[in-house]
Amino acid sequence: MFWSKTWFLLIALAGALAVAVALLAARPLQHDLERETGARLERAQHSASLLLKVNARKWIDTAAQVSTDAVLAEALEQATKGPADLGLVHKTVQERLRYFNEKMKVDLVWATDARGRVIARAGLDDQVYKDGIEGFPLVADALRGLRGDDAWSIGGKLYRVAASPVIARDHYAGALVVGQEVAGELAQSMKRVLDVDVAFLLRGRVLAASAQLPLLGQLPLLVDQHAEEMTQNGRSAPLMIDHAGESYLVVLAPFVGEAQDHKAAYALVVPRQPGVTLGYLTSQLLAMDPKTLPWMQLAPVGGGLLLALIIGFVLMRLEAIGPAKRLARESQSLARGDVTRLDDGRHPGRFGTVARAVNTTLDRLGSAPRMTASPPRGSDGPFSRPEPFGARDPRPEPAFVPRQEPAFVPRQEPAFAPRQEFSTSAPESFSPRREGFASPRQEPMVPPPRPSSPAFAPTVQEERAQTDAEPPSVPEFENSATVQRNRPSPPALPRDSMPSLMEPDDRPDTSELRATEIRNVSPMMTSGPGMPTMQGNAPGRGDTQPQEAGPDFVESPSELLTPLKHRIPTPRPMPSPVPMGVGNPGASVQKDPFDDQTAVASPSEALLRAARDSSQVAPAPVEDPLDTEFRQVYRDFIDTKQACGEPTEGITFDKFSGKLRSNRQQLITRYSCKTVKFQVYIKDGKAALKATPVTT
Amino acid sequence: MVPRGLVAVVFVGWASVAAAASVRGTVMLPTEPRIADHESHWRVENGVLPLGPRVPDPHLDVIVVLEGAPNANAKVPNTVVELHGLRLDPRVTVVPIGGSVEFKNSDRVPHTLYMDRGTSLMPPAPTPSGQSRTQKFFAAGEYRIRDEEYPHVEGTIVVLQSPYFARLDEKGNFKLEVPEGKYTLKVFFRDKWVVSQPLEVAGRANEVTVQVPAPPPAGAKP
Repeated sequence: MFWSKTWFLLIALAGALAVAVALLAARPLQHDLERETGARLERAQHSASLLLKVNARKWIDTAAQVSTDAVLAEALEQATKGPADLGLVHKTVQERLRYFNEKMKVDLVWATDARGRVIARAGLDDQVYKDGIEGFPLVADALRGLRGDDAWSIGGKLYRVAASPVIARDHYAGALVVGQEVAGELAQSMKRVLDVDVAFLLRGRVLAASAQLPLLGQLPLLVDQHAEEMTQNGRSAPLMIDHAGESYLVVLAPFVGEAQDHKAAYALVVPRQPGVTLGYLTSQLLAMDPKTLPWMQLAPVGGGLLLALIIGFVLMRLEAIGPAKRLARESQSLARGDVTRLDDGRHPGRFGTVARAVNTTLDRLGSAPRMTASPPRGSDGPFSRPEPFGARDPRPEPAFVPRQEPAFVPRQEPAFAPRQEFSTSAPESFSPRREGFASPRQEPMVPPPRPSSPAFAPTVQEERAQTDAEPPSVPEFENSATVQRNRPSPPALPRDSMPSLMEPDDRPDTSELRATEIRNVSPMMTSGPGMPTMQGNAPGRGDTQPQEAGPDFVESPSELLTPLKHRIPTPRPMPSPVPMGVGNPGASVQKDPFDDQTAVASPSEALLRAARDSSQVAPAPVEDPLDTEFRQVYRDFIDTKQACGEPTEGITFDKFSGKLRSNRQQLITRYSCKTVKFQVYIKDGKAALKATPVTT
Repeated sequence: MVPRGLVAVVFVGWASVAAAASVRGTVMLPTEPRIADHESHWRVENGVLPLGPRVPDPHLDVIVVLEGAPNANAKVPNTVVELHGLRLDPRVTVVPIGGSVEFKNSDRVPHTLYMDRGTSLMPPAPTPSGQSRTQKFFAAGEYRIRDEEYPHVEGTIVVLQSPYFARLDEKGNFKLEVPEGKYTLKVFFRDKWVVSQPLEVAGRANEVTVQVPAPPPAGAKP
């Protein structure tokens, strides 16, 4: 997969490079755009200044036009001379001002006499007159003949005003002032012309704006900070303002006039171009009209990308998908039983590693052809594993009918324990994994007793001698065996099915056979991981098979309860033990150095086959109720272990039930209870059994 | 209100005259532009009549002071500055050290006067129409007074150690009665001292002519 991985890595690098270029290349463009936006704002400010100036001139012309009114000029001349009734003059002038204001629609129209005294007002403070306003430079200049404009800050409001002298024949009779408040209407008008948002400020607050911009609250502070710059340059430089997640460019400029001392200014605001991000580029791309995209320029890029992807997929198919499929096919063939070595040469790379590993495993388990050539299950191979109790061919070997003491006698106290609350002197709770279900891989590789073979079969005396060495006070297996004996005996085996070495009189009783089988199978199968055992000193005993002991795949006794998938491999090859009895018939079975209980020879395959045959021929015996119960417990236990992910190989019902029986009998003896109830539960993530004495 | 026809008003108020000598002089102001340099877009002539004189006359804002004479026992008078027509009258006021200035509001609107760059001495305080506010000055110097509500309302209080000072008439003449001796003649115009020259007063009549230099053009470095 080197090339496909490399190829896709190159594609990913190219994509990352393209994205980086797209993002980074936009940075200088964005800076240019911001500069352009700033220049646009400065041009807008210049335009605004011209606009205000031109507009001021229009106001001046308007004031000049009104000031030529003859009635107004005569009235102001009379007021300057000091008439007896100034109120009459006031009314006359005010009527004229209101008349003109109907047409001009301005916020203030004031008329003064030649001394700067207000004769009449229209609009703002129109009831007030006779006060002097010659202190205003605009009025003072108008009184000496100048027309001009100004910006006044009156009562917290900003007015743009214009004034013109009122000329009566050959002298100045007074001045006329017109003004308009700076408000939202002017902001909207400026926005329409300048295409930027406009805000007006006076004395640290915003008077009006063309839009409710989030940054309006920051503008007075900006005016304070840039007052000197505004005074010197007539405006501020474009300012970048970030507020409430929005970014703006702002240019501040003062209002021309005496209101400048009251921080009268206007701000031109445009939103900043957002930062170039992948999301922004995507949104901009999606917002574009597809017709406007340069398809001819994009076509080679798209084609190249498509070609690169196709090449990548081809490489992936060559290097990954195809070999994976081949390996999967061969694995399926292996699963179907076609156990042949995988052709690891056909599998490249790590698939070849997997194939070689499978082949190595096959080699370790035994050569695949031997598997196919091995005798069928239940054959009389010298090391074939004995069939469990109830198998179809339980032909016993006469030399292996241990009618004597059971060989499988646990040494220690049973690990099954009643609940703690049941008795203070109860033994510790049953923990199969820790005490009796030790992993077989951690066990010493102790050669098991010789499999059943006439040549290997120990003599009765030998077995008796062995069992005599066992603690006699442990009755568990005895009880179990007794229960087995109490079962209905299967019918006698046909004579022709008996092994030649067996004497007719020694034809085994099937009940005995069952007990024997339990005794003999148990040491063989206690190797199964998780198999509950009552011995604490020899876990995993018998978990190995001699390497030459038959097929690599032997049928577990649990096959009776589980489908074929529970065929388990022989855990690991073992060095061939010294054949016991061969050349030394009187030699006893080699004892397990860790446990004397394992010094029991397995029944011969012939014996087991005979038993199976008899069970096939005979009608099905009525199952013991305890067996029914134990079988259910066994199923629960197996299911729980599988649910917990624990291995179940080697756990057979016969061993299981034997343990339960022995434990049950032990508890009944100890607690004088009627029976014992076994329950499967999960302890520390592992399946466990709990034995509860039942007294009622 | 200062009468416009004031001619060579000489303040010799509280100075004792010993071996008095008369100092007469003329202060020539630089040529004023026809149109004042107010901050505005436009100041244009009307095209019908010529422009009238500036109001108020700039000569009224000129103070001539002779410094160097020993302090005489002077009676410290109060000076009244009137607020009317939305302006201070007179715009430039002279008081000796320890003198008081009464600001009388004759406008219809309240004024909030304060001392520019000296708000601790004279903080902003509203003076309603028809009421007065008095401020005492204990140190020589120039104090600029402004109005919070009307930026154009401004004036200067010049606190002098010397009792010999005079205002100009509308022609730029002044006259002082001072003891003989050596003095420094200083001219205060447009919120700053524009002339300072030695002057020896001897005999009964002394003539002096002072030329106020033109202000530097706008934007020029001082």
